[in-house]
Amino acid sequence: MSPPPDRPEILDSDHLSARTRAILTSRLSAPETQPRTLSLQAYAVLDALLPVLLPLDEILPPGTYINMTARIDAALSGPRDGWRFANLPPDAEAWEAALLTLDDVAAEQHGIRFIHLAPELRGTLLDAMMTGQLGLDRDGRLSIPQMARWAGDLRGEVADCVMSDPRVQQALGISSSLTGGDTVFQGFTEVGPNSREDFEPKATAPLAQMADSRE
Amino acid sequence: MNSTTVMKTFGETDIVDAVIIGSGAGGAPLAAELARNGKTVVVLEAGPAFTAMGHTPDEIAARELYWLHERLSAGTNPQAFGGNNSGTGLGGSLLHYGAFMPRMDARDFHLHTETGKGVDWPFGLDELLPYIERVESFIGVSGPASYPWDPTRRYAYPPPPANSAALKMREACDALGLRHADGPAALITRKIEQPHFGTRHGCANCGACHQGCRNSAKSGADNTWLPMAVAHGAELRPGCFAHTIERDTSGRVTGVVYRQNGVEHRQKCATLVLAAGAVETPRLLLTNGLANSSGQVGQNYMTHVSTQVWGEFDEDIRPNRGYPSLTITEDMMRPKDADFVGGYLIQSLGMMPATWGQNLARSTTTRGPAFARALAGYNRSAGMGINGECLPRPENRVTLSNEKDAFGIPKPLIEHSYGPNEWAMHNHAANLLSRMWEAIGAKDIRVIDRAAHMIGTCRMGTDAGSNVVNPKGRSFDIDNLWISDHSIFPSAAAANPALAIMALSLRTADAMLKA
Repeated sequence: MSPPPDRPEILDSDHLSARTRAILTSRLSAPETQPRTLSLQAYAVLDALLPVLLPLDEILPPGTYINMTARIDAALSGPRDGWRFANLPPDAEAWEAALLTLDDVAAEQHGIRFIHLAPELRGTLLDAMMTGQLGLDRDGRLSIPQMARWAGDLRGEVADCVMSDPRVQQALGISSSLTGGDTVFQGFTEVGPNSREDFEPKATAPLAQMADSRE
Repeated sequence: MNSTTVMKTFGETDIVDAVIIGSGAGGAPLAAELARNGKTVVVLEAGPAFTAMGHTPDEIAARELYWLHERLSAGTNPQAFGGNNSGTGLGGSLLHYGAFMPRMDARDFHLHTETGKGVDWPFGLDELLPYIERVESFIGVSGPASYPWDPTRRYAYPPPPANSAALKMREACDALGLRHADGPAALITRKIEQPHFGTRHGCANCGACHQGCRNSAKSGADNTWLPMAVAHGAELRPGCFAHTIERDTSGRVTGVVYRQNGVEHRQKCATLVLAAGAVETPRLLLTNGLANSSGQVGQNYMTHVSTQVWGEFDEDIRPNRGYPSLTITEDMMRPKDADFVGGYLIQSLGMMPATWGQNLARSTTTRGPAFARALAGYNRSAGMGINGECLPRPENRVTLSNEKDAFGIPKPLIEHSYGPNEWAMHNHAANLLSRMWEAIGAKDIRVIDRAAHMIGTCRMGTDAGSNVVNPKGRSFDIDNLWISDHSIFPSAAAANPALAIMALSLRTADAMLKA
């Protein structure tokens, strides 16, 4: 199988262990077409919400696409990190309920489903959720305080998903995966400011290029 | 473990001198000490046996080092466990700890005497110091040639190189007239042959301490105490989740029931040591209804006030590189302008990207291009963070929730709320650290309000009516039950807990050998 066209160069570094390379490479794979955890309705809300929360075109090179929706949906069925807020149901259930809450509020406030809202209106609903002004007191939905807590989980999950993607690491010039190979564990020789080593990626994202441009 | 060592094994019907539940900072030193003195020891560890070179800097995959049995977090400051959670696997939380290894301040043992608030320890630093020095000497700790707050102290290894955050914090301290030094770090900076383990290499500055050290430079239990325990005849059993403590008609412990690969097993023992941490230790006692005549099991859960302040610089900082938290100042251990009791340590912070991104994401509500710009600032970011005293409070505790886990055991509910002292300390630190960053030109300064570590819940003291264990770690209610972990800390103190846990572990082993 030929590698995807947007395969980041860091994956070919000898500063990467085989295990880490396999983990990062798995994130390049074309995602499943069917949701693994969420209902189709909740999945669609998540898909419509993510570009408003964190537009990746601000970070990635043109033509590069990361299916965050599929990754997060799959992650919700995998091993989690060992805790949750006590006022929220288990993660998979909380995400389903939160996304359906957003959809119901969209319908009640604007007469159309969340996915059909203009991006500005989607953003307004997210802002209301994050600042403790959006929620529903009914079965299978989350209340205002629950939505505010879940907003933190959503933001944390998105940050995890993005910062652990090799295409993002390449674009932002992040060398955190390149701690050392299997036969030689190189680590870093230079650790101070303005001392990028040759094997470390340079940022390509315009947003992150300020420092590199000074070299 | 050293590949030439053959581990001794015990039969389930053998009555071993001691079963220890937990193989981390609390259990491992004690296991080694008992075994070295001829006692038969079985260590039950819920997690697997990892190999150092198998660790990965990938933060998502490295969650395998966290305790993953779900915990429910409540209160007005519910703790975001994640990377701050207990560990799992042979070596416990030391597999993923940051190896920042300050000693407890002598004043923190007597906070109540000093201030009328908090709780005193039943002894002072002089009692623990010999054990602290033994721990530092055996596991390997690096530090400066002269430590400004304790010039008599010596470290066996020179510090690793200062990374960008450490250098920036030095500048910031200088700007505000604070003293600073390379902090004590539990890692070695030159290659050694560790007795009973094998080769440990010097720190390679890879920065992934929290994801597991791949060349054994970081001093954990897996490359120090546990190999020593095995060399002296202890058996380590990974993958064993202990859930039931069995007793005879007189109430003394006779054995432990645990699950391994879905099958129940029983190990008989003359003595039981709980070393499962400030959540699992009280959870075991509460589910078994044991050792709680004081009503204190699970009470007085504490953390550290661990406020962070991050800033962006016009330089390529690359916060993933180098030992993450090298620079320390202890000048805030009793600040003159404090409106709180106790004090805090400040350390520089580098950080891996997903952990950093999570902290940023959870502490702000920006979205759209502003959120993307904030994340894109990773390579320009440096942080500082504190570890500060957290007073014991009755509303902070570990109890059993109504929800059961896969074993049919109630999940723990951890309630955690800051009181006035914690908020005052947070505000003091947020203000000071922000001024420090401003003084050296940092931009986009961001305060992250967070708590770290898990402390208390089985308090140690002299009075059986208000403590779970005596000053040596022995249960007041059951004479062959001991606790050796941070659950017995009467107060949180400011220092990161791993060193004191290990020192107490050796001290409790001494007491057990004399009992």
